[in-house]
Amino acid sequence: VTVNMSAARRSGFLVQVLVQRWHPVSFGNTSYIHTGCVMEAARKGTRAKADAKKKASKKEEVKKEFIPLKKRLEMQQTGGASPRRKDDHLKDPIDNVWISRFYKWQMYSVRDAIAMHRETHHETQFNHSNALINAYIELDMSADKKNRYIDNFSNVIQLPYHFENEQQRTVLAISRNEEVIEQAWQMGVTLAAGLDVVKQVQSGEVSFQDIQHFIAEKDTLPDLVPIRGLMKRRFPSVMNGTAGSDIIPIIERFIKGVEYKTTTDKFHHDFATIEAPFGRLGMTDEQLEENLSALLNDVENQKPQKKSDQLITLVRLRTVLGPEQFKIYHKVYIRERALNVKVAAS
Amino acid sequence: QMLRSGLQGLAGLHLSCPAWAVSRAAPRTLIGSHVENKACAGPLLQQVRTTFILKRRNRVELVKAHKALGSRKLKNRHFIYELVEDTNCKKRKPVKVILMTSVDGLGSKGKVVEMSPFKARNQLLLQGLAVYASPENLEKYSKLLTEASKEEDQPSSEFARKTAEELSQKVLSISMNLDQPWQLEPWHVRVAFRKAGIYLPEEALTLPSQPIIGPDLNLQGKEFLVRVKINNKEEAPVRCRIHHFATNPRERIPWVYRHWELPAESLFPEEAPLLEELTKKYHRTRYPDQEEEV
Repeated sequence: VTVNMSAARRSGFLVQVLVQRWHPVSFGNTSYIHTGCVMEAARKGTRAKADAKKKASKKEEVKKEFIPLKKRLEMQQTGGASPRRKDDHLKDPIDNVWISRFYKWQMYSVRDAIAMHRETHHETQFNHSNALINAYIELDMSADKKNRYIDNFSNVIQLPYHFENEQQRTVLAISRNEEVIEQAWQMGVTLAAGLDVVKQVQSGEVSFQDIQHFIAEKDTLPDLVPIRGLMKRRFPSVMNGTAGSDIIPIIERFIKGVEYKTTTDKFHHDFATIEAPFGRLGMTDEQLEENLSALLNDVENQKPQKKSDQLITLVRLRTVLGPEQFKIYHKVYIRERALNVKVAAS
Repeated sequence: QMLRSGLQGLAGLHLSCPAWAVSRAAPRTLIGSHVENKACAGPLLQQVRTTFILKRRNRVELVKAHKALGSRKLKNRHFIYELVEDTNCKKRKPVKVILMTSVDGLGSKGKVVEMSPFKARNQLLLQGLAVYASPENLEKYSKLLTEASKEEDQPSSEFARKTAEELSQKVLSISMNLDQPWQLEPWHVRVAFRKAGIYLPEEALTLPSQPIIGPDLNLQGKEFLVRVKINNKEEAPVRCRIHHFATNPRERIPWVYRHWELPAESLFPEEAPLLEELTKKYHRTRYPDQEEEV
């Protein structure tokens, strides 16, 4: 065994023994470092142990899909505090002159609220004595089960006392009867037609895109099935209140009535609001009260079976001009729930 | 003997001396070799003024019945504690005090008020504005309330003075029609106050002696004074400005950014000095001419 002294001197820390073996096959087979451990397999038990450890520590790679930063930040939004105003910590005023932001919102009767709105819309001030008066309604959309909510809904209601509401709807009326069609045109529908409307739509003469409401006689419904796809959710049905044996009252309701729809908060799904007009300041107090009562009862009737509590939490009266809103005693106007025809979700 | 065994079996521990309360920076597991622990004489009904409630991590073994309690030797492991509760973090119960003088926002002289103990001490008790509502004190100062009502310089209510102060800083914009003829009446001013969020009856208002008739664009943006009387006692002057409102949106007068911060000309010359005073008193008043110079 010869020792390569020069090599040993060159390397600092180890004395490397050059082992020259007289190997008949591999003549220049010399190795400085014992490399046998790499080439030889470890004991079976050691191998098994290493494998088991590796398997245990192996984590499943979850494939994360790429979400752009903007969307990721949006997903992290929680919407902050609930939009519902809490004033349990506030008290009622004790002085005759008081600043409202330190006290609870005062509740007024409908007559008082209307009188106050009339003051601001007087000739000497806004000069808008026949302005529309809106009801701002806050709803509790949570169902009985936790984290379950009611869907958005909408309805067109005909109020007891008619007034010029600045709402316009596109309505299509379908009937077999010529007289009915004639009457429908006079009432002011966008389009009134018989069963030939099916062929007209299929050929492209008439477009269903812009029409918001479809009203049809009950007997005509099976004939309308071929064009059902064009109407989708707007397809008339008896349950919806858009189909019936006599469509004249239905048309009247859609032309003259007031439409309201709920808007749910993006993050707080139990909070929804409705803003709908129920009269004009020129009308008498009794008429306005009756209209409001009809509106509130209709909204309350939209409550499905899966909710047992009251739907409406708050009602404020406000107008288009002016910042004032007056909270009213709404519970007085809501009657016991009647078994009306339920209008389906929008 | 049962008691003793019960005691010794206690895992819970109350440190009876707050002077040795461990600092908050300490980790949850505490090794308090400098802390004294006294075994309680009876069941844990004693009132202890503790700030930290600790629990031993390692159980202390029972001492044999025939041996003395004092022979129980505590080892290092027995001095390792875990924090159960920090009584500093608990919400304090409010404390009742009797007011000696009328305090804005709280009440009049002689009123019993409930407050957080820190606030009560720092704001009232230390300054001598109030006294603890102990049974003796309640008896002693029971006549304060009746005495107070006889005094004249007492405020009409706890909020009246503050309301008066806030009103004197306000600039009220009264919207009157641009096309229809009108004369300023108390109800117009009342409605303007209501739109601004201030509710008051017409009896509380005193309009200027000279009538204001319009529509008159010379009146636009000029100030006059209206006096408000709160609870028939406190008086507050409020600056008012007429704003002409046109029903037709096209005719409307353009909006001036935060017009209430800018000084305005006085409508009636006799009111000018007081108006100037109020303008200066309002901390947000801007003088654009001066600003331009700078």
